[in-house]
Amino acid sequence: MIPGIIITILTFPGVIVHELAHMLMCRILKVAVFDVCFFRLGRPSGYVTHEPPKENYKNLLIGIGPFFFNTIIGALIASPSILAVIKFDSGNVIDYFLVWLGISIAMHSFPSTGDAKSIWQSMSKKGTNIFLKLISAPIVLIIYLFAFGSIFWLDLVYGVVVSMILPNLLIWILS
Amino acid sequence: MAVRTCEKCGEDNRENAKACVSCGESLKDTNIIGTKNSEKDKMYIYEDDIDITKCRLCGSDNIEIGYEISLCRGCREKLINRKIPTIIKVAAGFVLIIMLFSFTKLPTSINSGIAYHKGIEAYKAKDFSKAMINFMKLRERYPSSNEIVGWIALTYFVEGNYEKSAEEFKKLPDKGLSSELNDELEKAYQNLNLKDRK
Repeated sequence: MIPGIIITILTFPGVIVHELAHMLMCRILKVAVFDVCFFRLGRPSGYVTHEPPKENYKNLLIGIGPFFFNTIIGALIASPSILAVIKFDSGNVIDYFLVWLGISIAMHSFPSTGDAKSIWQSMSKKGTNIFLKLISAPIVLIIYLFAFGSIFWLDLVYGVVVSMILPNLLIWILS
Repeated sequence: MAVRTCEKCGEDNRENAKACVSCGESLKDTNIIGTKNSEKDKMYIYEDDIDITKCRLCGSDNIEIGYEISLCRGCREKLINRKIPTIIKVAAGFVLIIMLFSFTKLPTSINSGIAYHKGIEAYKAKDFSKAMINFMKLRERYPSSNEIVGWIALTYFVEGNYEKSAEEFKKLPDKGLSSELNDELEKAYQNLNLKDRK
């Protein structure tokens, strides 16, 4: 079993992009940020402390922001090299670097359990729109399931799968 | 909160005060006593015994209504647009450049994927010359790929070119080929056995 700290160090670009995504979402949604840590050797490996937004949906968007940022950036970086590395087992140093970087970023796509707690708290507030509750509840459940799955390398599997989807989809469409 | 104590009357003033609120004496040359707010923003924000009618950062009365944490517009704007450290900006720029560079490699990668796909389709349709053209194209791009060598060896084999097939097979490792290629190798081997029996 590889300790979590080693995985965090090996995939540090993903942590930085994850926290940057939270911070950018706060900026886009005009939510005050009190404290940011982009990377550290500890638990959590990064965090963004922000004020509770006026509108509860903003909390959900801030929480799931990294899912979109990390997935798209990671997939775009790893996709062009993943075939050379995985399918043809013939990648060069640049290909391996791009695959490492892309997968590192993509595997940190999922919000943390801290993000899930924050989403849960905001949707538990009185007066929260029922539609928002219906969207948030499964998201929180998925985040917890994914956090549990990461014990079995689900985050790495996710990183590889999203990197494979784009090239395979394009090949399927174009061939 | 850090304070500036007036040297003339001893009054404690806010750390950013220019003059004493009690006697009006200039506080320009006085030292700040205690930890500066900028150094303990986070701690200060979460203090419970604070006056919620004032901005938690600057103490201003003009707080924005409707938020759980009382802040004035200026302080909130400052926190919304909190500076991103230069090193993170540089790292983000680096990732962006890599993403663009990587994107330029995508067409080559997709073409290779298409050639691989077409090669296998042609092989399964028994159009071995078309399959070979695609596999050879791939070999130019990925000369060390065992998977490509395997398909070339197999195509030579089913075409009956056993000499060349054997040459290619020698280059292959025992393990590490895709299950699809292994299945086709198995089929080709079984077909050869059936022919021999006949």
